[in-house]
Amino acid sequence: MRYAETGYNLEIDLSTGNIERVETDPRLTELHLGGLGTNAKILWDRVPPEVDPLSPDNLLIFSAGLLDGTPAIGANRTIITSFSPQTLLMGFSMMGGFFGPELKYAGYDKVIIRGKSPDLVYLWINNDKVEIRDASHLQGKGALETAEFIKEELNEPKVQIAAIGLAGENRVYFASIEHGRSSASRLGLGAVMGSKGLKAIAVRGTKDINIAKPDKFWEICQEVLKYIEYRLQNPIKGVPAILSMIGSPQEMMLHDEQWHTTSFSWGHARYRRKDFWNEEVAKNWAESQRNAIERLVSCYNCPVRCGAIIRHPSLPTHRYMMKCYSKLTYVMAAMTDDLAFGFKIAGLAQEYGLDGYTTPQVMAFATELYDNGILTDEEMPGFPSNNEERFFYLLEKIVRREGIGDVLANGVYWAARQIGKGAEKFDHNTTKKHEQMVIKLGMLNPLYFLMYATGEKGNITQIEGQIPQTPLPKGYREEFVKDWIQVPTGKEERFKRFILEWGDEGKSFPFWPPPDLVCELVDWQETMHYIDDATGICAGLSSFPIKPPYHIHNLSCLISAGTGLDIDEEGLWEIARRNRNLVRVINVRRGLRREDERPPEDHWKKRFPEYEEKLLDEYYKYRGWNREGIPTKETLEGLGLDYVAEDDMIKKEILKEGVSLGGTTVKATKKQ
Amino acid sequence: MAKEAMANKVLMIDYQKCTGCRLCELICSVKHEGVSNPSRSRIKIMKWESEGLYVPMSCQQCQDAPCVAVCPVKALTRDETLGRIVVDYDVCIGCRACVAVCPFGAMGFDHIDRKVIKCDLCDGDPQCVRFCEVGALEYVEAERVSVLKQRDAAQRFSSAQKTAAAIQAEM
Repeated sequence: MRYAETGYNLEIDLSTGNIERVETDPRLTELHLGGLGTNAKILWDRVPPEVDPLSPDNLLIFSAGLLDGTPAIGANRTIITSFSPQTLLMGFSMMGGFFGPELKYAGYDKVIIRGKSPDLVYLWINNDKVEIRDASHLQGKGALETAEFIKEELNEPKVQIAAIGLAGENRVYFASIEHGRSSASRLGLGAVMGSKGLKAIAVRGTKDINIAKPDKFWEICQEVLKYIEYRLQNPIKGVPAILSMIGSPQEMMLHDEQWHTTSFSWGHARYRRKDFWNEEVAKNWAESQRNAIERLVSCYNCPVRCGAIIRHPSLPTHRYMMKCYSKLTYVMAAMTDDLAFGFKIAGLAQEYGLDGYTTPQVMAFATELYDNGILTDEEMPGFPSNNEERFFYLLEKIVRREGIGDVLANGVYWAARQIGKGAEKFDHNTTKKHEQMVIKLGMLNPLYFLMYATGEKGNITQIEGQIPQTPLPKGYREEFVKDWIQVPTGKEERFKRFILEWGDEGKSFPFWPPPDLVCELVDWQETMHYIDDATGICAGLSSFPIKPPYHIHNLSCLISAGTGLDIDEEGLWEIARRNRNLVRVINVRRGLRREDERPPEDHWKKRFPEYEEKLLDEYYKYRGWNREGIPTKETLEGLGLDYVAEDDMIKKEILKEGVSLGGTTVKATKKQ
Repeated sequence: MAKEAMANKVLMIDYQKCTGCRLCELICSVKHEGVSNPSRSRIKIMKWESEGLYVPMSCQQCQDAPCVAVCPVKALTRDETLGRIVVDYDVCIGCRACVAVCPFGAMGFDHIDRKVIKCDLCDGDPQCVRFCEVGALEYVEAERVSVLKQRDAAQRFSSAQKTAAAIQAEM
């Protein structure tokens, strides 16, 4: 019997209509757990590096996390993995809600989709019965609207649906996959789904998930629940309200947006408005939020209410769901002071199936080009003068790939190069061809430098966590470290000292803390995310907040009790390292090199190029990678990834150890 | 707790508080079947996602229960000590007449063990109540249900009156 997982994947070939239920190798669970880990293994094995992300040969994998469907609190993430049309690298995006657990109850850990359907279809997975159904009547329909249509059509109130909107159908490079309560929005996986002619996946499952040691497992779940309750009542002291809680940042519940609006940049990641927040804004915004929000809601098996139902009379469904920072992304990019605009445009964009992070930046970029005379009325006929109207104008153009929208739909990096005429200079906030957080700061932060540079996910929020972003005020430090149980074994002394000293005279960025401690802190932050990405536990309860309910100590016990595997803290750390390295070599094989590993030039005002190179050197060394950021043969073999070390291209690159590659590396090329 | 007090307790559901997380369904299946499978739960959340409406549905332990009345072999009886309807599986023939007749759909059929299932109030310590963090489920004395509801309704009246008074004052 398989525990925690189902032991089966569903393989769908949309070109031939072939559907297979395939038993998986339990050894892969021991090596990679599940979710992102096993997704990466499949991509390495089955998608050669030259495959274009939008070609039928690319795979689109919907995976439940290893613990999805078990009683593990907040284990509900669906990890969607493919190659991104925007970055051309591995793209994975995750969503909460109910889809992953339902897939497990239907009897599958993953749905692996290859090929391309000649006509628009949707997939209906009802336990053992799986059908590819016509979706021509859903063409052009919104993502949320589609879900309602399908629910009605199948007459199945408990079905869970993931769908794309118009943006995905039109292969917008930042199209999302929407699932009502949550979206997998980063890196354009909605466009991959669209390229396969797949409008939606509907799933309903009524099977059991078995737990190896149910009593032990349940005991840990209860401890986690208790700690959640404790943390909800005891916010961290000495940090901004938004960072003091658990869950996704509680922006549906909290009205205080001083931190985001004054620390993050407005427009196309350009301007800080340090004095934006005042009493009047606070009052108006609180009112807008109260008018918009109907109620707070939760994802599957989680008591934290991160999401909200937002009223939106002009949508076919009249409502949509929102969480976190997306209420602000459009508002700040459009440089408007009206929060109601944010609620309005975000709902429309969600129905079209667009990423709420990248979309506003692309629109602000286009606005900037227009204001600078690079784009004109010729390319943008009838472009309004008011910023809010401009954003609605651009939204319609982008999702339809109409006129200039066809270029902008490729994201800032590609659009800048297609437009030319100096537009490249305005591409100032992308890394690895992807729009980054709109934050512009003063002093180089060595931890964030490494996370931005070496991260291979869409978002810094999928890498950072655990520690405050700025030094704690003196009076709060002792109290903070007193019950900091989350710190990995063996690091207690070093990490606690870091918190106690950080901010003292001479103990500040960029040269403090020393590079070895920087590497350890970055490793901890990123590792915890890689564990969540495999288990499906929401980062909001685990890798993202400060002092989360899940940590390396209870996660190893929980995974062991759930699966029956014997995984201790060190073992778990090693699995995360294996998955991290596998993601890296997949991208290395597609052309990722050291030269790509740079945060946006203007992310910090004060930069230290030589020291930054040293930091990268140190971090690569710490990770067991060579000067180019490629895992060495020893590193790969040490993690049981011998077959990766045997790959011709990786072998060639490993042999170049210590040799400067200059500009000779083969980069994945883009068909335009 | 005294048996008389337990006999009078019911599951009180406040659907306005339910956030739709379905933790109760999961807990129920773990408690009763020892596995994770919400489709085998005794309590079910019915959802209208696009309306933001979530309604937990469970056995009302009716006084004059149609399931008891319809059962041809008297497998369903009223347990007065806990104020609940119980199934005697030694007697039950699995005809599902009770499933057909229940006006709430609260009598379920477990498709794996092939048996009818219903809420047994976890023998007086309902686990769904214990783990519902938002308090959408409570286990309270039957007469308290209406008192608590009356208070909530009165509160809405009172705040509406305050608003009305404020509007009048402005006029």
